[in-house]
Amino acid sequence: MTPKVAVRDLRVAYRTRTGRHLALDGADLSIGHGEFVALVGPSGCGKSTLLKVVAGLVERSGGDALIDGKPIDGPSAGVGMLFQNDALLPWRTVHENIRLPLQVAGGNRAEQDVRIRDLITTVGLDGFADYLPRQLSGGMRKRVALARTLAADPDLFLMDEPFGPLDALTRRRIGAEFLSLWETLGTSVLFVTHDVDEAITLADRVVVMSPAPGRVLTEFPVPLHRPRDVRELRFTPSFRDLHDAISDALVAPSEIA
Amino acid sequence: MTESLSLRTARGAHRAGPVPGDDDTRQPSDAGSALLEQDQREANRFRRTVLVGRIAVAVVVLGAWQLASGRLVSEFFVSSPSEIVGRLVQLVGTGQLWPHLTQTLIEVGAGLLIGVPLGVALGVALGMSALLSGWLLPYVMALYSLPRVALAPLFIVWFGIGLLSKITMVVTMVLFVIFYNVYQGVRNIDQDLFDVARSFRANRWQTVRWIMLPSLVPWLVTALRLSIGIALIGAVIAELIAASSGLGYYIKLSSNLLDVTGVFAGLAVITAVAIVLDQALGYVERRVMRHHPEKQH
Ligand SMILES: Nc1ncnc2c1ncn2[C@@H]1O[C@H](COP(=O)(O)OP(=O)(O)OP(=O)(O)O)[C@@H](O)[C@H]1O
Ligand SMILES: [Mg+2]
Repeated sequence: MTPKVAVRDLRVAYRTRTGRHLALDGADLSIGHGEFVALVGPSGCGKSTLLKVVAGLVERSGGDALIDGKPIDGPSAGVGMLFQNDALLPWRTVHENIRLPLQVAGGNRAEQDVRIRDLITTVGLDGFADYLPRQLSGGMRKRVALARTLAADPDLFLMDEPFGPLDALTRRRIGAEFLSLWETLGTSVLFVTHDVDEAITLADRVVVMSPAPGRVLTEFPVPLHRPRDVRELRFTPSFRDLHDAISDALVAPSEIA
Repeated sequence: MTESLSLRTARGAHRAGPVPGDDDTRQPSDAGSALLEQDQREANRFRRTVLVGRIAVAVVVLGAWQLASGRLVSEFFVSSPSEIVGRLVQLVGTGQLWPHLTQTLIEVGAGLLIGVPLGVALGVALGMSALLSGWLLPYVMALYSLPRVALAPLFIVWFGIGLLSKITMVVTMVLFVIFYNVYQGVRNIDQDLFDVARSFRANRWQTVRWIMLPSLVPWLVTALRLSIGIALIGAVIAELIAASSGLGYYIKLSSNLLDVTGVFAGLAVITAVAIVLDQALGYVERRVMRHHPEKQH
């Protein structure tokens, strides 16, 4: 069976004023159908770049990147991206922000409205439909961005530190909510994060990248059964062991340098 | 607060258990509305004080002018507020004002109608294409820094003393202001917003309509507000140089007849037009900016 996403020997060299900047050099990655993969690595190692290649937003300079066995050539249908910042349209209300992907797809406005109201309930924002993004807290904006991505009904989520700038408590909470939501969806996920705890809590597999120019160093399967109880999880010995192993892998390369 | 996520997507319904810890799903409340009311009252009082002071300034200045005129300075040179008001009443009463006023308004209106879309198109085109801006930007900027009122004599040679030379003048005045603002606006649009549109597979037209144009609105409103004053300058200057009607023409005619009251009456009407247009646009600006938090004036 072909994997959902296959990346082989990926190279990305950004064009800059002074020449080329090598962001990824020989990255390999594969994501199975319905698999939740977390990507961790030092800052600037090319995590966002890798995600954007899969999203079809950045062109590759070498290697292969495929979705469902087909080479990626621009944004594919069924891929939902959650950006590192929430990237909401500041002049649109919550309701209208969520409408965007539905609007692109076209179709009946009344049906769109029904769907949007459902999604607002899904992400726990009832009562805020008419708020503008700047009137919301950071956590609430993330929920709007999530609802907007859900509206496109993707079968592959690409999430770039989606809960990154939130405080630890809110991040854990939204993470838990997203986890229980995802467990019902069965979509494939590529999830970039700085937070090893978050990676283990959510993912089936944690992939560790090297410092720039990025390549995949190692990966760790997460042997925790689902559905997961987020509160219990972090106190189990296997969680702690895995946490230490991944942290070591993250630190190791910089010790050599 | 306990709460649960209920999920109804295309894939089925689900209810997740309550999640501990919490804060960011507070309900909208109207607590603090008393404070709001107090703020409102204080703001109103401040506005009233400002208004009273403003009127006082006008009364003092006009009163001093009225008193000085004919006593300290010859009325021939400075006229007087009462004379000017009398002239305005007469101009309106006899209907003499309208041809001049409408002429100038038509020049300004037509110039804006042509200059604004042209400026927007140019700004969007150069803002989006590195190649186009590479080719054209230096020339556009050179024209931008040229004092364009100096072109008025040329347009009169080319297009005569009628409407066309005035409209051309207004267009060249307006075009660059709009262009420059829109160009800056396009370059300031958050790249992530374009990426969002692209990742949802929006086509070019959808991206322009839903991302680019709304992002440009605050820039455009600012540019438009600047343009109105500038358009009026362009029209009046062209009329001063050569025309057969218009407010600038009336001022020049009065000055040729050594009729200072006429000059001031013309200036008063131009000022009034500028204020009315600016207020109208200010109103539009406030309405639009309410939805545009990212650029405020
Ligand atoms: N558009 C671009 N043009 C040129 N260089 C870029 C561009 N985008 C990213 N880079 C460079 O590529 C490298 C990888 O960037 P990327 O954003 O993928 O890193 P990251 O792993 O996501 O970092 P972070 O954890 O800080 O988000 C960085 O050195 C960055 O400066
Ligand atoms: Mg990044």
